[in-house]
Amino acid sequence: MTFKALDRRTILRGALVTGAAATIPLPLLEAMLNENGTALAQSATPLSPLYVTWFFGNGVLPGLWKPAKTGAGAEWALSPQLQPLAELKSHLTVISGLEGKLVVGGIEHPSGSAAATTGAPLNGNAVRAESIDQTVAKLISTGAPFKSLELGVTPATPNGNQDSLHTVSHRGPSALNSPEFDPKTVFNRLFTATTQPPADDGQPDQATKLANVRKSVLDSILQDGARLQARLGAADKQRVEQHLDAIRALEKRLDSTSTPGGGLPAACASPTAPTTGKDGKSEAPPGVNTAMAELTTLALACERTRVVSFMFSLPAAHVYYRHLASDMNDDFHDTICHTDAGDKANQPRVDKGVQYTMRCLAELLTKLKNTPHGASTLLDSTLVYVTSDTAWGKVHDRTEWPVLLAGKAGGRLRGDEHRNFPGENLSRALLTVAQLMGSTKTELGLDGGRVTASLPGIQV
Amino acid sequence: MLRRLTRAQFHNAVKDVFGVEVDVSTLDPDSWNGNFASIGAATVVTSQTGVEQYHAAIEQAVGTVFADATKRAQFVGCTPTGMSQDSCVRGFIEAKGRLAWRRPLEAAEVEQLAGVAANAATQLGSADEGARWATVALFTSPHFLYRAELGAPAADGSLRFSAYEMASRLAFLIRDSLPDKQLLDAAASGALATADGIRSAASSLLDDPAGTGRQAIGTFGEEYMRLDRVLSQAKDASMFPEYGPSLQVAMVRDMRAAWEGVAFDEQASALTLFTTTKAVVNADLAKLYGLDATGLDATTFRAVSLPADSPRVGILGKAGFLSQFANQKEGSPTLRGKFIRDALMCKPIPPPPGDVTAMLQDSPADQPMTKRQRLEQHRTSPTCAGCHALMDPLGLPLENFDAIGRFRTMDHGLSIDTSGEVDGQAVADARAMGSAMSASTEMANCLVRRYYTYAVGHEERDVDGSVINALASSFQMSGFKLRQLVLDTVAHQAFSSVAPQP
Repeated sequence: MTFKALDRRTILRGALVTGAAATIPLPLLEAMLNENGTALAQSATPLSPLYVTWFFGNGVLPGLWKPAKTGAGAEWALSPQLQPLAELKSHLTVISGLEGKLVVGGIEHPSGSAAATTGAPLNGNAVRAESIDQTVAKLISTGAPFKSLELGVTPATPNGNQDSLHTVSHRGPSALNSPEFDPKTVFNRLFTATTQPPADDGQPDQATKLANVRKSVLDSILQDGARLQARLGAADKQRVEQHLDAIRALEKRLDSTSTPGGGLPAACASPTAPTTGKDGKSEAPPGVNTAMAELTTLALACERTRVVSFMFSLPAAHVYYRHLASDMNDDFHDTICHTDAGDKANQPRVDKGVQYTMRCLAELLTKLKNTPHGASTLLDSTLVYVTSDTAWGKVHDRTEWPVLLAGKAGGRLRGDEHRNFPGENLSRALLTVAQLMGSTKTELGLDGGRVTASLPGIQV
Repeated sequence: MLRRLTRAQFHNAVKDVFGVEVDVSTLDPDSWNGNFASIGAATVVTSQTGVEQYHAAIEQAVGTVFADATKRAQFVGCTPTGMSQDSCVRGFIEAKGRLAWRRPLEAAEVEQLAGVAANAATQLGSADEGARWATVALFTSPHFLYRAELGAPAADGSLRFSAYEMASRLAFLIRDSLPDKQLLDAAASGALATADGIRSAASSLLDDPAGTGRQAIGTFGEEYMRLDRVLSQAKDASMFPEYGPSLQVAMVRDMRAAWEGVAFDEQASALTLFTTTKAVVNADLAKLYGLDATGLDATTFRAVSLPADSPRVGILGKAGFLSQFANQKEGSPTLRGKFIRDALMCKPIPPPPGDVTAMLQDSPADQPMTKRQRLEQHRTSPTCAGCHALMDPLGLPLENFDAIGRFRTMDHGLSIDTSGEVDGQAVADARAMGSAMSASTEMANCLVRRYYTYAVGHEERDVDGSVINALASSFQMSGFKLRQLVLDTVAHQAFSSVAPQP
């Protein structure tokens, strides 16, 4: 990513869908912050941390994942499978011992995915509750151009019908936010932009006129929607409402105006488009991970969004890590996880896959750490919830679920610690995440996933 | 019932109206709740990205027409003045609106869109821009993207779909697109108020010279056989260098053609789908099927017949089926058998018990085993045998076909045993399995059940039993003709009545 000095006269213009210019609101300007860069100067409102769900399929080797000792700082050391994150240890909070109590035999991966992201069981193919990223988006995304962003590194999937196999971002039942797998498409959606000087003659320029026209189209759609809703039952009315919410979000993007000033990374003014396309071989190549990690960093740094679901691999991903080693050209889910000999501390090919997954995670976390944000870094300001759809892929273990919180969540996490909660409900991690992100919720989840307390001692 | 247009319906509607092809992979995914996109459409909720994608697709399609003076003039049909009481634009909005929304617009709606047009004409200083943005507003409206089929109380107290709702139901089922002007006129004239009127309209749609009726049967086959999965699958490039987009597209086309052919060209029993030797191939698929590819290339297709004694027969011998139930390297008899049993025999299989290591050990390199031998574990272990005995014997006769559907006689250097079983009847190979299936009334009944749910847009419920029995019986009487099934389904009162709550 190239960083250039920001031309203060430059107004960022982002495209609304097909190239309509719309002004991108400038993010988190230093001028608006207090001297410490921790709160808005005028209101002293603490800045909300940013949020990422970082999801990977097929679990880990629990015997190599769980650190041997609990504690903080020097009291604990990284486990073998966390070694790729060694340079980020100060920003890791490992939570071990949790149990996915909603895992259902025969549909372990989809029910595990739903457990780890919604805290609720499935109802047929649909989830029953919104996923944690959407809970967070409701809390912190007001005013952001994109309420949330969903992207994925590889589309590899077992192709089952359950919604929770295809995304970990759900606004509710049958309301999937499907990940985008093509970095170029993600970039175009976020940043297709031309920098244009504002009109000097005081007359609205062509782009402004077009924006006005588009607004009248969107208004017309909202009126159509309201008339349609009046004829519908509750469930269908709600479906249309979600469509209209999206229309309102488009309208807001057209409305946004910029405030000239400094403070945002210059990369936001002239972001570099990725050159890597989508993974067409279901092998989660490093290049796509790099591109998606950059886009995630850029989207957060430039305040295009405050909430990201980063799906490194989907639940039960039928991914082929053939680029890692000649012996890795097998279906990671079917063959390597399920049929390779060995116990939960010793399946060498599974370990290779998990190590690669953690290297890819490290790449994103390192980029966040290297990106200034206010007075600190993006990683300090962000909560990254890392989890999977199962604990140990071989037998779909539901105990010792992999859960890792990365980042400092704006000081709400200490980092550099390992806490063990043997047998506790996985949903408590979700409630903890919700509270860390500012939720006043005291309960979360449904049925066997329902909990009424977060994990003690995690939040500062 | 509020159904969102499926990806295919959105594509077809945009093509009908604007002559522009939308890449459906850029649209919000269909939901496969109920095993058909046409059923999932009743519950799916559009995402933010999805809404943006609809807008992008429509703006682009409208832009294509308006960028070309000839196309634009033809599309608008009169000369807009840009004035707020522009009668040309109002007439245009009424005509296109009726098509887009499948009903006449209310006065307030015309007024609202005329306002959009007037504003655009003023802002952008061009009367044509007014017509253009009114068109965008029509086709990005929820009235276009969603099918509200809500019904109204009839004289006998039942809840019946309105004439325009019926036009829409018929069109999306039998044209897989918007109703055309003729069908909307039929609705307006009251012609769709009786079963005979509906049957007659449906018959015209099936025989539409533009081939849309034929394509709609192809779409049913495509959804039923879940060909959406084919285009997103990857295969091991070192084992299958020939696998790629042009082969994948051909696989879909070949499968669709089988359904279209049996309904229209051969007008044969639908059960011949299990024995047909007809195929539609491009160069890639011809090579895969071991056929002469002379004169063919990636985009040239030809209808061909496989040899009469071909080991490859029927829709289960088609690469569009075989390659789908396979990983990147080898076919899966279990997944193939599961689909056959679930989807084609209507006998769902219970999920595997929890906490089993449900996967096979790979054979050691020094001691190769066939897939059948490796699956033997599942047939001997009591935990596994209960379900695998229901699936594997239906998939094992297809072991002659590899992960992309190529014929083979050896597996891991060992010769392949293709024996299996259909409903308790032993079969020696895929051909024998196809014959057994083509003689099975049970499979015909399953097709009726699936088509019925596809047509009405909801999953089968207990109350549907009598309708399905009636349809199955007339289907059998017709000699299992798909055309008859379509006509009997739409003419049945169940198709024109709002479904009672389950």
